[in-house]
Amino acid sequence: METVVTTATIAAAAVSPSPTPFTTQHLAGEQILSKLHAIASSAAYWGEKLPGSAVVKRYIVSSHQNDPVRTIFELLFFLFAVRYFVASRYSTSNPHHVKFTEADIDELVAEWEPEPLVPKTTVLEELDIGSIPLIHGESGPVVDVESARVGHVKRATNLASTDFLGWARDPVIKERAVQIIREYGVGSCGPPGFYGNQDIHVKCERDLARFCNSESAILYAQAFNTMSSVIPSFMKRGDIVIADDRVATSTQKGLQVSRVTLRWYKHNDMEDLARVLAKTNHEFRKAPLTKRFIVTEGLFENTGDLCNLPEIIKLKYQFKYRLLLDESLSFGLVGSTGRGVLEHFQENGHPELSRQQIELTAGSMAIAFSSAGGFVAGSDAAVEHQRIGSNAVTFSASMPGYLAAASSQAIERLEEDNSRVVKLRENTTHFRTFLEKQLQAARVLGSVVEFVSSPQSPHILIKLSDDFRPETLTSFVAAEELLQQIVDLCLAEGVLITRHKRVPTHEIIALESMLRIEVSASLSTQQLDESASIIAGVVKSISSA
Amino acid sequence: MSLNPDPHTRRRSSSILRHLEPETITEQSDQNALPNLNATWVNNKGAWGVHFFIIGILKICFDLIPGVTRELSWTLTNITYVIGSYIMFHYVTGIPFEFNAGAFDNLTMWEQIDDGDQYTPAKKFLLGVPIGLFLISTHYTHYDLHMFILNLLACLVVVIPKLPSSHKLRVGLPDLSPDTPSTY
Repeated sequence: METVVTTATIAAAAVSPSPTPFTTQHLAGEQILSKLHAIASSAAYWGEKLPGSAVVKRYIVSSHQNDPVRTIFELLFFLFAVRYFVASRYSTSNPHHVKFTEADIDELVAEWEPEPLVPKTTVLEELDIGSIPLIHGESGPVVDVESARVGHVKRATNLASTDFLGWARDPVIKERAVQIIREYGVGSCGPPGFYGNQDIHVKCERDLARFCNSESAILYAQAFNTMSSVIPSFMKRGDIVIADDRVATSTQKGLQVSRVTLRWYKHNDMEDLARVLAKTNHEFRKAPLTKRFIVTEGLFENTGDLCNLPEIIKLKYQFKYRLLLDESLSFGLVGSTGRGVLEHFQENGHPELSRQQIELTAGSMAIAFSSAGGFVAGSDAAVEHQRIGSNAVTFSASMPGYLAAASSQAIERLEEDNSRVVKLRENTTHFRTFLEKQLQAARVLGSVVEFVSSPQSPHILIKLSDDFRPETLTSFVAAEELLQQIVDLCLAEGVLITRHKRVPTHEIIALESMLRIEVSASLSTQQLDESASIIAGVVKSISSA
Repeated sequence: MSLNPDPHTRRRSSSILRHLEPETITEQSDQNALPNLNATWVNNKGAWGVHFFIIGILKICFDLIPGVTRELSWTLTNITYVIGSYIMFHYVTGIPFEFNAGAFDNLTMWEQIDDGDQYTPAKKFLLGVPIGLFLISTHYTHYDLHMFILNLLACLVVVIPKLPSSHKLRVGLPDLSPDTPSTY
């Protein structure tokens, strides 16, 4: 209370006229004041003449209401708005934008050297292009091959085709395809949502759903596009994906395009997966809840082994993730009736697993079913979402009807009779054991080459051993060149195998040079034995050279 | 993974104010891939006129409620408009359509308008409307102190986030929890 009184007294003292006598300064001040008054009154006079001035005056008078603080406040607010209105536009997105003068632009244009429209091929590309084998006539277990590096080989055993069950030459499936071409023509002439789906496509989707024990399935026209389209259709920026660090190229493309937050776990290392899941869940514990997926492959194209599905399903429930499983290679190859990696584990001590525990399963008909295209199996809702939400379905013409029909036929054959799958398994076990024996006998297994793929896999991958490091083997390209020599020597002796070819610029995982041998059910034991001996002999000759 | 760094990771800070991290190259290219349909419409004339229409409708609705004085009606109109426009321009982030893999997920609509440029015609208009509405409201509430304070606070709530210095600025509680998970 006392302070208030003091302040008031001081204020009163300050306002009260000072006792000092008049000076020249006071006179000058008075003159200025009177001049200002004259200006103000003339301004008021002319101001009143302006149209609308009465309204403004009335507003100011009525709004002032003997409250100068508030009037000043409103005036400041008004002035702020005026200042905002007259400020000129500027960009926040590009604050370091450099302004060039005409001379600068001319100089830069003169300096510019255009890149060639067709870039120069790299050494690896030249190797790839130069070693493409050309098959004359029909592809099958024995082929007539021409290669720029080897020449013409009339009869070569085909161990490079992914036609594992040998249905590309199956007369029943062929007959069915011919019949459908006569009935429906060769093209579908549109995307599925735009007249592209015919009754045979719908039938094929139902067959696939039945085959996978899922609620529904949807066809994709291209096998490679399946994974790279289904990932962005369900996952976008802000969603979290934990992926195996050996997934195939199509999956990598999908993960890149979808812009998800991506975390890798070490290939098939379940402890590492658990660690990454726990770490990621902790890292994003306060982030808005977005979709979280584990993405992995059934039978890995890059390593030739199976994922540990029971453990992944356990972890996915423990850490509340969804699972997207790419069974492109495993359908038709794994499991006693070819129903993939799920069936394999159901038959091997995990009968409790079911397709419903895997939210999305992608597959391919271009491999074991010897047709074309891919599919995604899942719940009705997940499949319906893709019909309008997956780019490869919405914007790409659906596959020709006869390919869908061929796939349906292959599925029906597989459901009736699994002898081909059994034969493939026998061939695989036989070939793998025999090849191992031959390589051991040649003293090259472990010292020169070693198996990457697991013993049960018909997709056999062989890499150069870490101990085998001749002086010429200095780079990735050199390793590829060495493997190509093995491939060429094998072809010269009548066995067609291939390198595990990939395009380095499109891979976001580390590359490893590998030989790729595909065992087929349509090969005889004798053909397999001969091929294994030849491969072992060639590897030995390379190592001693 | 270096190819796809997480754009939402921010440095830990004990401040309640923090700036969004600048966009990555992929985010920028996704944002520029297509016109942002969520923000382009604010430059249309109809989109400007509709503000006056909404304010008029609000005023009429509040006048129709029995017992609401003219002073209260103007204040309620101002507050309702301000809350609505705050939610629309400054609270909701991202866009309702899906065509660029969520490239705008972190940005409010105000930050999306005109690609984040400042002092554009649409932004000047959208800032002018609440200020004008505030001046009108205080005038018609006859400068009652309580109403004045209410109207002023409401006005500041939408004017402050519109200032260029508030661009990509977020207010929130600091994260002080430990950085490592308890297990593993």
